Amino acid sequence: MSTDSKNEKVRGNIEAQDQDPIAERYETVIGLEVHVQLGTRTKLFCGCENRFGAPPNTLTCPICSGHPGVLPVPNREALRLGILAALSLDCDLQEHCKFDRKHYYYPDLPKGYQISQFDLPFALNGGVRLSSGKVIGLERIHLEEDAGKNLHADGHSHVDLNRAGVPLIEIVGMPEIRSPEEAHDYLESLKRSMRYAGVSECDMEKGSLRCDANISLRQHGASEFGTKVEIKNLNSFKKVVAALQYERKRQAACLDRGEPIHQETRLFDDASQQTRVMRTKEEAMDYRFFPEPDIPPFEISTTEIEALRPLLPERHWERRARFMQEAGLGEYDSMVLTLEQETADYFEAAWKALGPSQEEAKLTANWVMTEVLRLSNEKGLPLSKLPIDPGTLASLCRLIQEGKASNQAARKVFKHMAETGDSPEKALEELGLAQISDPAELEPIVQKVIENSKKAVKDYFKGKKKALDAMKGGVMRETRGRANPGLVSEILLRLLENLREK
Amino acid sequence: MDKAELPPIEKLARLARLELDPGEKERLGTQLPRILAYFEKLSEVDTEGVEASPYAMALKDRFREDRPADPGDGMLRGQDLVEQNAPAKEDGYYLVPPVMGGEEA
Ligand SMILES: [Zn+2]
Repeated sequence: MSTDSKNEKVRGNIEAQDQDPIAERYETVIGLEVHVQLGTRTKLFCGCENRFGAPPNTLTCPICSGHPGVLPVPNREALRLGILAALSLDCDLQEHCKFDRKHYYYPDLPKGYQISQFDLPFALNGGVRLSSGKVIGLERIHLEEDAGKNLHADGHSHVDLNRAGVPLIEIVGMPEIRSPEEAHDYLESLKRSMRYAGVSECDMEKGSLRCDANISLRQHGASEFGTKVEIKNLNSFKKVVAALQYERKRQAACLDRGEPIHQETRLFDDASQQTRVMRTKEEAMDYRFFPEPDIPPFEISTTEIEALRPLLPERHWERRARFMQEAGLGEYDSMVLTLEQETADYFEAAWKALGPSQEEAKLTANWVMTEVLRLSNEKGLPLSKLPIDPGTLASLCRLIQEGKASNQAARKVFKHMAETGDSPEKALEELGLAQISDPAELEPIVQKVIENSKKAVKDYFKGKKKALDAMKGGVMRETRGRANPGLVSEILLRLLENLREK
Repeated sequence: MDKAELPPIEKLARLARLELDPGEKERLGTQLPRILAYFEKLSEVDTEGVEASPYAMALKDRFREDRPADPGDGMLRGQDLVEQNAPAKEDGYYLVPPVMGGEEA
């Protein structure tokens, strides 16, 4: 789905909420737990590759397959990326940290326990900023290993352990989200922060960002939370919103009927767009946490934190605000340009190369948001690999500014450059699209058109403004659209006035 | 735990999914009670006033660099692990009894 239609959809939902009767009766309370896979080369506790899409069980060793007698040794890069993620969300890094074992039985967890962090996570507090400026607090972020994958088929389950041991951070948010739409906004902002910090691709289709949601309703003004329900299996932002919307309606209907809400875990079913019970509170897990004896505790020093802090780029919301202020761009344009750091970088480089004014910023922004992003989509290439770099785009924009190319011609030039890699000047020449802005070249053409338009000239002298457009059109035809329109008007008027005087 | 309390060696082998020949059964049958006796010794140590610790050694900050393991280090990896260890396998996957209603994460 394109960014535009995605945002349209969210806007639509927000509007729909204004006349939402549930919101009048109950306050919705949502908290999200987000798992983000860290983009390391190797897994968290062994030297197996951390890579998506390999044939089953090819990226495994005795450590991540849970064989007895092995020694897990944590990956320093995973902690480094975790710290970057935590800094980008303004968390407090913890000096004293340790790993713990979290026990549960499932075939994709070969050891019978997951190495996670229980009472001493590496980061506490912090927050995720929504586009409204509201900040949703975080409780904690901890490091843990991913489990493998189960595939259910005819009477058996197939287990692939390639993902077992891949480093994850779990970002636990406070129950401060108040609508499914805010949940969507939270996830978008969080994803952007993670991508800006360079810690993860956050590609939900590849499972590198996953989300569980807790939702409850309560009377407005109540100080106690209602009974919460956890929803799992939410593997796209769209599903998170759909599941929360469904669950919100289901709970409101229960409360309206005076029925209690049961504390339980539910799964979202894509086909029916509904949630169904997965396990009840009575079956709630006791994870029997205890410290991982094979991994010594670790410390995060102030020196380490301060060495990493400068590596973080400007935050996406700060950059968005700056684009609005410095570049004079609208809220929507600034949002689109900062969705990806790469887009923001491309825009900013092209703008700086073109000139400092807000007018130049707007011209550049238009080109980046239309032709550049379209080209990137069509070619399936990141902006950094496009045949047209920011400097080249600036040269093209300059041709428009200087009247050497019309907007229409510039779009053709852009396509030509994308195929050939030519400079804008050369492409313009080659396509024969160079705008004629030389009065000495245009005047004889205009003169010829006037001589061939006896009726139009007569009409013009009678005061018919439309006659002028007809003659302008004539010049455009003669020049195959290359004449500078402003200059044509100017010459046409001058020659006609000369004629009137005679 | 004295020798009398030890379950039969056949039962232990089954729980550990080990196949033992008669010679191994005989040998382990005499070794296991001795191993347990070693642990008995631990309870003789006076731990009064000693704080409990999950760690055997006073180490901290043990990390590895983010480098792929050397494929020639002699460790069994990938499909070889499946081939040599899995009691049931199919198309490169470990085959296990059906798991329903679980988490599809
Ligand atoms: Zn491994």
